[in-house]
Amino acid sequence: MIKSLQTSAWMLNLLLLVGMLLSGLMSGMFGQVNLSLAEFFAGLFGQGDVGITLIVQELRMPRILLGMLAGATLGYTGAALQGLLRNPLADPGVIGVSASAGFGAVTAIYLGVAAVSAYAVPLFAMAGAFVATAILMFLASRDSSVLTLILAGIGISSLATAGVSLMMNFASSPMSLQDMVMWMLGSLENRTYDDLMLAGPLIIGGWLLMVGVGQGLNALSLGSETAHTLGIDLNRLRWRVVLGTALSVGATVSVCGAIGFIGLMVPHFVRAFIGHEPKRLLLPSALMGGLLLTLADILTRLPIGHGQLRLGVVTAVIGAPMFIYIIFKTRESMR
Amino acid sequence: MTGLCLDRVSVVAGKSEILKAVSFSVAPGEIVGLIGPNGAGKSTAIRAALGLAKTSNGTVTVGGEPVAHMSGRDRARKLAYVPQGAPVHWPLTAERTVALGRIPHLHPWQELADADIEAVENAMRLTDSWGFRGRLITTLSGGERARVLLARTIAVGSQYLLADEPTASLDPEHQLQVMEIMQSQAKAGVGVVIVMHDLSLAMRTCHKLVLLNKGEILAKGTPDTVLTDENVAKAFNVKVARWSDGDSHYMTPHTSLGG
Repeated sequence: MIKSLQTSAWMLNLLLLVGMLLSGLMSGMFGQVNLSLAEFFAGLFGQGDVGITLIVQELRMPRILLGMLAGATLGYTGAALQGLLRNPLADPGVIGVSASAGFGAVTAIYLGVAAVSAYAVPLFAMAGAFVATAILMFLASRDSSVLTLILAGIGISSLATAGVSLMMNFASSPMSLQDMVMWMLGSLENRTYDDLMLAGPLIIGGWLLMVGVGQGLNALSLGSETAHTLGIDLNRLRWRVVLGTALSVGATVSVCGAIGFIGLMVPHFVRAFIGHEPKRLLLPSALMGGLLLTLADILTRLPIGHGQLRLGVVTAVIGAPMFIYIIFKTRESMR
Repeated sequence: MTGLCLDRVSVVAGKSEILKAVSFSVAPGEIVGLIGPNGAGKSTAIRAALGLAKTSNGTVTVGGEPVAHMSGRDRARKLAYVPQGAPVHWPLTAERTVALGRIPHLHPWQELADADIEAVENAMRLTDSWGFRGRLITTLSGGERARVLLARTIAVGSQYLLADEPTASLDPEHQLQVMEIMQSQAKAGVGVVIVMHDLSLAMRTCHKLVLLNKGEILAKGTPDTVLTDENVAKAFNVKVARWSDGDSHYMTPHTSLGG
């Protein structure tokens, strides 16, 4: 029975990987200029029309890659945090890093430095995420309880949200207010290789910190004391997940804005297929996150609302009903 | 120094010392019962052995090697824990829950090998839980769940088992079943430490008893030397009735001695 679960988990991973690559392909072909499969590949390898090559290499590829990185980060960290906190309601926002990155970005817009340099918003956002992580570590380092961690995260999140409101309150012009709101709704539009170079290494660094945490998360299913007696170093596990999340989600939010729901709901989707074992959720959650975010990004290009449909809005509008459906289907086993 | 030894172990909680220089040892194949009134320090003693309670003094050793110097994995392969009323936070199947006991034997990314799967099956058969291996732990009755969690501990294949009231909340049949499992583990060479309240059961199943009172050892040794009327009165503040049925001896508290 255990063997068959292992096999079906790998089948699911394979399926999701193929799905993610296909969605990436669709994302490359679909947009203001629709390309055929042949045109896309010709553009990708620089062998076709110069205009098409420019569209594929400079506009679509960074967007596809960033979308996959961001989606995978949100899915993976969502699953890891739910495992660490042993709470199906946890999401990457719970440690306060996303809200703080948002505060950093809004501050850059408020101060007007966003107009000076394209790097200003992501750098300010990263600074926000960094400060939040430092405060979190200071508040939660005294003891190893997850409750302290959650409460510290909620505190930091509330403070950052208050800061965002303050910036909006004092925004000097309707234009900058609109910029703030738009940024907070999340987007992959007009992202370049520069954004990818800025965020990519930090995102991957965060992932590397979290490699191999699954076993500890599995042990935590039996409570922290039993996990300790199974040989797990809980303090190390906790900081690997928290710092890995802070780094990868902080970088993601810095370049993509706030994208809700992926981190919360993706692990639930995966559970519907392969059960609740925390370790087994990690990889499929990353792949499904990448898949769903890429699909959502394709939807933002539909000619709805004058092309102003934002990524965070799509993930929430589609994600929430799907989430409710999944909870309805699996509520029996959650008791 | 063979076996699991606690040597003058003290534990401080806040300002009070809840375990005061307690020493006892468990040899392989031996069942040692920790008895005493509520708050005597029984659970604290096994938690100190497992490194769950910080000791302020004294050492815990396994085969002469201090537990504090072992890596987490090494310690986990020597000492397995049956906690009292343990949570299972996710609705895992019974089999997956038991398989968590193999974690000390696996690298972080390693899947269960055939030997691990065999250990899981053996532990589940021993605890009579193989029949519902595919059911979610959330759908099991209290007794079934307790057996699955016991199987989880046995699946570790450790040298010592430390159980905190493993018979609590079980009906009489399952209480006896759990003690029989402990006895079969001891026969297989595992050293067993059990925190328990049922004095009759302790008397009949344990090779040695350690009677704790207010963080100190009041008596230790064979059950008949420990469970004297005087010791029981002093520790539990009760009078007991005793009777025998062939080779089996029983006792039950019948009068509180009052304040």
